[in-house]
Amino acid sequence: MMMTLMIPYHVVLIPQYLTFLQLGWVNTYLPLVVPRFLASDAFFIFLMIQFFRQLPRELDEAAMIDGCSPFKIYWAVILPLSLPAMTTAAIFSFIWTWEDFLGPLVYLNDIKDYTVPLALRMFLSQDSVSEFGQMFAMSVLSILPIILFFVIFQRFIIRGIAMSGMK
Amino acid sequence: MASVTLSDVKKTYGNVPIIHGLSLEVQSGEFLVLVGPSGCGKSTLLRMIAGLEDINDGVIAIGDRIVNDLPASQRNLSMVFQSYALYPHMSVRKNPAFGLSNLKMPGPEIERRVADAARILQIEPLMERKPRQLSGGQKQRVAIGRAIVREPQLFLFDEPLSNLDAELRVQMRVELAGLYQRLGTTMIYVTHDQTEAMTMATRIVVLNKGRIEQVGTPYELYNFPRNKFVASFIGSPKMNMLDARGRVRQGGHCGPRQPHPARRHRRHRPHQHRHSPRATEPWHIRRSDRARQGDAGGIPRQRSLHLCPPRQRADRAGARRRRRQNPQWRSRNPRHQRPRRPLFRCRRPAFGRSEVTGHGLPAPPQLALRLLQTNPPTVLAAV
Repeated sequence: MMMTLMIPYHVVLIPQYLTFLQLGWVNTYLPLVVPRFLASDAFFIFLMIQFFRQLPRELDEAAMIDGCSPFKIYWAVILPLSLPAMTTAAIFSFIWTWEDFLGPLVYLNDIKDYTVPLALRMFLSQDSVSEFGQMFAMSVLSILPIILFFVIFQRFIIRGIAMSGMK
Repeated sequence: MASVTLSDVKKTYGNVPIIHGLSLEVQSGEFLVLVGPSGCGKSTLLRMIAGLEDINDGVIAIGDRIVNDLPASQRNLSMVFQSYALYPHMSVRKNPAFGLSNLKMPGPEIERRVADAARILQIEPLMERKPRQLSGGQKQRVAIGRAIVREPQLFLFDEPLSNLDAELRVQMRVELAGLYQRLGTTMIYVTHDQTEAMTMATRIVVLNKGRIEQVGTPYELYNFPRNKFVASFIGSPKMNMLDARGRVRQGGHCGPRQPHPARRHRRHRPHQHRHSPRATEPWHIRRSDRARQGDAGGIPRQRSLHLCPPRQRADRAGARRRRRQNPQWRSRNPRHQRPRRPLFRCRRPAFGRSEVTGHGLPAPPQLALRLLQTNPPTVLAAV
């Protein structure tokens, strides 16, 4: 899994493109949204594992004595406690998707489907004068959703909630 | 209520044996305390009974049922953890109810049981709070509540009071003892705190390095420790171990805390020499009358001990002989001088053996603590 974290995005880009081409997803938002939505990055797996590790083992055991199956332990005990880690993953996933440039550039062909980074790119022109003023104004505007998203979800990132039933 | 039977239970972690073939019978309705130094396997043993830890060999039976392969949830027991392990995202009301709803119990029954437990533990005003809004003692009560709503056959406690402050610990100890008297369910309680063990247990199991050193009532363990380990582990302050050679006269012995009950029947062997560690409590030590008169004549009275090293005593006998021949003679040898001042004088307390409070603590430990204040134990180390 460390390997998947180390392989550059650009290496897997072409095989991924071919996969999505066969699925018929090219020129849609699906290749950009679905993998991100599932937070399939190795980084998130590490994040979640580290979070699960610091949950006290006694909680599992208490649930076991309370008659939970392993899935029920996960669903009823561990998952509600993982909210901080999930929120962190969601925020990162959102930011990375929002600011992704290469992905949309590869998968989107239609100019009316372009995402914000691609649109910003269009302010730069190789032939005539680039409109830097407008581009920076739009850049500032484009980070507003990220800030909003963060402000809304950051209240879930309260560390220590998991420990509050313990000593 | 159920009995628990362990026969020849073994546990190893990798190649390291933790529990070496341990057999134990816990009677129905008993408050059994597992006590021992840290790392002796007491928590492991408890977790094995709970089903949280596999066993490598042997048989564990709860009641008539062999539970070796039963999951924890089907053993009909409840466990209170050292860290309470309350579900942080559930309210005080939901915490106990969670286990019951897993048993597919109807809603009204769950409500009734939770309300009962809340009343018993006096946590009714806290029912809608989350665990993080509770103090340590309140969390502890909720954890106990979660255990009792299931009305199990067997309660397991894994050092439940060790996270509480001293005052609260004493209070919870009383409450737990009261709970035990009310429910009468079999309880197995792990602690490293021997005061807890002595005050609450009907029987105590002293464990050391995965083996049982002694099983007995607090009274038995305190007064008749079977070996040196138990003798030094039980009792506060620690029992004094003296390497002594003494003469035991008719009707006399070195104190009521004999290394073994059998020794008590040997009292009619006069002038018996012994080279064995004798266990004594501070109040068993008293300078003999004859020692006070400057005569080092053994142990003239029951429960009195003349305290000086054996060799010194032998030398002093020679010196005494010479002085009898020549009253002016004085030895320069420091060993021939009068024995050091006695450690302290203290009569054996007046209360007798029958004075056992409740089902637990015989009175002496408190007395020992009192003595400790007036007679620092460092004095004893000088022997």
